[in-house]
Amino acid sequence: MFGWMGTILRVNLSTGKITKEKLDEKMARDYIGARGLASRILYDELPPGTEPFDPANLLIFAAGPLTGTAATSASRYNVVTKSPLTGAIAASNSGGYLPAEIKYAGYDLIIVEGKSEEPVYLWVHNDRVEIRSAKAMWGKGVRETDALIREETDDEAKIISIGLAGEKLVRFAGVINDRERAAGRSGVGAVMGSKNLKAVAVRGTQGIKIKDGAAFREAVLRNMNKIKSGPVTGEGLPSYGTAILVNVINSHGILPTNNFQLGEFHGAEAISGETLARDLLVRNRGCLACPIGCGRVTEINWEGERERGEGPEYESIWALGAACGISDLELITKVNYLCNEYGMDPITLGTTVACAIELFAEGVLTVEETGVPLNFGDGQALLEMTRKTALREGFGDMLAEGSARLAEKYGRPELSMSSKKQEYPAYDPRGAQGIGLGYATSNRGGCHVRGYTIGAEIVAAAVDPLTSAGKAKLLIDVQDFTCVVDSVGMCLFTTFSLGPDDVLPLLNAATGAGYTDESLLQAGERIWNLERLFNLREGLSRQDDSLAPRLLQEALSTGPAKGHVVELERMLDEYYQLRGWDSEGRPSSEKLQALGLE
Amino acid sequence: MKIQFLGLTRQAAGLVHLELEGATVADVLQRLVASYPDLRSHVFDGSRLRPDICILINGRNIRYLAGEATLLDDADTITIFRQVAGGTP
Ligand code: SF4
Repeated sequence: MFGWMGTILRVNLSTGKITKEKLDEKMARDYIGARGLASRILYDELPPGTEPFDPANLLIFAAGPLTGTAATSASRYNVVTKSPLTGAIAASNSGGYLPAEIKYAGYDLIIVEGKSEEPVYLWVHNDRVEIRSAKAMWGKGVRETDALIREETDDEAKIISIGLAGEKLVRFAGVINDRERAAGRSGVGAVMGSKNLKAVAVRGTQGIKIKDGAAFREAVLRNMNKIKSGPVTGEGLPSYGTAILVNVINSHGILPTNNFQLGEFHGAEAISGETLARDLLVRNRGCLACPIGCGRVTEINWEGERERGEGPEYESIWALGAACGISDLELITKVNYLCNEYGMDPITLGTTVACAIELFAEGVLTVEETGVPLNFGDGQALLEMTRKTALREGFGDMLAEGSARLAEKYGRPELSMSSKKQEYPAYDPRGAQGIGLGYATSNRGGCHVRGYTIGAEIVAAAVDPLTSAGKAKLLIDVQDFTCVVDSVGMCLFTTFSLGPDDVLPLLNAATGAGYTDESLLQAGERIWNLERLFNLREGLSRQDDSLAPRLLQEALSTGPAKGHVVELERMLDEYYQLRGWDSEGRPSSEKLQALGLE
Repeated sequence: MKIQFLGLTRQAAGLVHLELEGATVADVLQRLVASYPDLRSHVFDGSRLRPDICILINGRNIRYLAGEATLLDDADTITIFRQVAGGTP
C-alpha cells in the first residue's frame, strides 16, 4: 500500500499474544486512517456496554496515511478507546515526533487489548515487538519514565507514557508522547493505566511509500506556501502561539470566568499571550514537518529554582486561570507543567476545580470535605488540588472523577460546565452560538476541536457569532472536514489556511486511492456518523446533546453578548435535519445506506 | 475613546493602550497611522483595510456594525489586532 503501511499491530496484554494483521484496503479508504479507522475497529470489536476499565476495552494508537510523510504538519495520531469520563467514544489527538515513528516502525495502528497482571511497557522496534516489565517505571512521572525507557531500549526511541494520574485511574488522565505532547482529553490515559500499560516505546527505520512522488512534492510545496502566507498560520500562531487568544476572546466578552458565571476576566492581561511572550517565553517549538511551530518552551522561577517546560497554551491558561479566577501566570505555568508530568488534562482539571469552588461558595462543600478553603482567585488551592487529584488523595479523589460526577454527588449537577460529562473549553457559547451547538453535539463530549466554529465566528469574523441562523450547516461542514484532517494525520491548525481542495491532491498523490471532492468529505461524514452510532449503542440520546443549564437560561451580564443565552433547541432541530437524523438524533436508514453504514 | 492593541499591533505601536478622538472608525484609523507609521502596514493594504485586520468596538467586530463608517462615542473601547487563532489541536 502507499501512504498506509498496510499493517496493524495487535497486542493482547492478558495473554501476551502479539499479532500482525494486514490492513483491509477498502476499510482504509472508507475510514482514511487515525481517528476514522480506529473508530471503525472500536465499533466492530468492542462489545456494547463494555465498562471503560474492563480489560475488554480496546486502546488504539492510530496514525493516518499522511502521518510521517513530508506533508505539512502531518505529525499527528489519535488515541481511541471508550472513555471513562463520558462513556462515549474517545479519540484524543496529539502531534510531536512519536506518531511518525509508529509508521516508520511499519504500522498504521497499534491495538492494545486485555490487561497485564504486572506493570509493563511495549517495545516496538520495527518488526520486533516485546512486552517488558515496567516495574521500575511505575510510580514515576512522564519525564523520568521517558528517560528510563530510552535507557533500556534505544536513545532514539519515541515514547508514549502515562504519569501518576493514569496509574491512579483519574478519569481525565491523558497519554503523553515526546515528554510534553498530550492526547489529553477524555481519559485515554486512565484506560492505559487500567491495562497496567505504563508506556509504549517505538523505534522505526522504514520509509513510507508514496504513489506519485512528483504530484506529492508539488502539493506539499503549494500547501507550505499557503501555510506560510496565511495570516494565522504564517504570522499569528508562530509569533504568539495560541495564548494570544486570551485577550482576543476576553475582548469579545466570551472568556468564561469563575465557572462560566462571567464572560470577562479582569485579570486577562496578566495571563495573556503577550505577557507570556514578554515574561516566560524561551523559544517556539514545533512538531515534525510543521512550519507553524505553535508550541512554547517557557521558563519560570519556582521556589527559588529556574524550571523549564512546554506551554501553557490557550485552553490550559484559561482553565487554570480565568475559569478559577486566577491571574498568576507563573503559577498557571507551574500547574501546567505538573499536568504534563502527572499526565492529566488541564482543561478538565481547571474546570472541575472551578466547579468545586462554586460548590464551596454556595456552602454545599465545606473545609471538612475539601481540606482547604476553595475560593476563586486562590492559586495555592489550585496547586494543592492538582497534586491531590493526580494522586487521588483526600478531596482529590473526588475531583479525579471530573466535575459532572462531583456536582452530581453533591446534588447540584447544574454547576458542572460539561456536556456528556466532559468539560467545556475556553469559549463562552452564549457569545458564539455555533460553538454552543458544537459542544452539545460533539461525539466526545464538551470540546472545541470536533467542530471549531470559532474559526469562522471569531477568528475570521466570517459569520456573526451572536446569531444562531446558519450555524447548524457551518458546524456540520467543520465537523466533517475535521474528521478528514484528524484521520489523514494532519494538524487541525492547518485548516486556518488549507481546505478540502488542498488536502485532496496531497492524499491522492500519497495513497493513489483516487478520492474525489465528494468521496473525501463523505468519508468525513461517514466517520462522524459512525462515532454517533457508537454513542447511540452505548445508550446516549438527544438528551445528551445538551448544555449546562447556565448557558441556556442565564444570560451573560456584560460585554457584546450581554443578554444572550445559547439558542440550542432551534439549532439542534436544524442540525439533526441537515444531518439526515430523526428528531431523537438517530441517523435515518437512507443516511446509513448512503454512507455504507447499514 | 480608548484604543487597545493586541499582539502584532501592540508590537508595532509599542503601546498597550492609547486615548484618541474621532467621529468614526475611519477617522480614528487615519489619525492612528499618521501618529504611528509602523502600524500602517498592519491596518491597511493600500487604501483599504487589510482583510485580516480585526477591529472591535466594545467587543463587537465592525463587520457587524457599519464598518469604517461606524460612529464612535467617547466612552467606546476600540480593540485592534491581526487575525489570530488558538484552541488546542
Ligand atoms: S501547528 Fe502546533 S500543534 Fe500543530 S503540528 Fe504545528 S507545532 Fe504541532
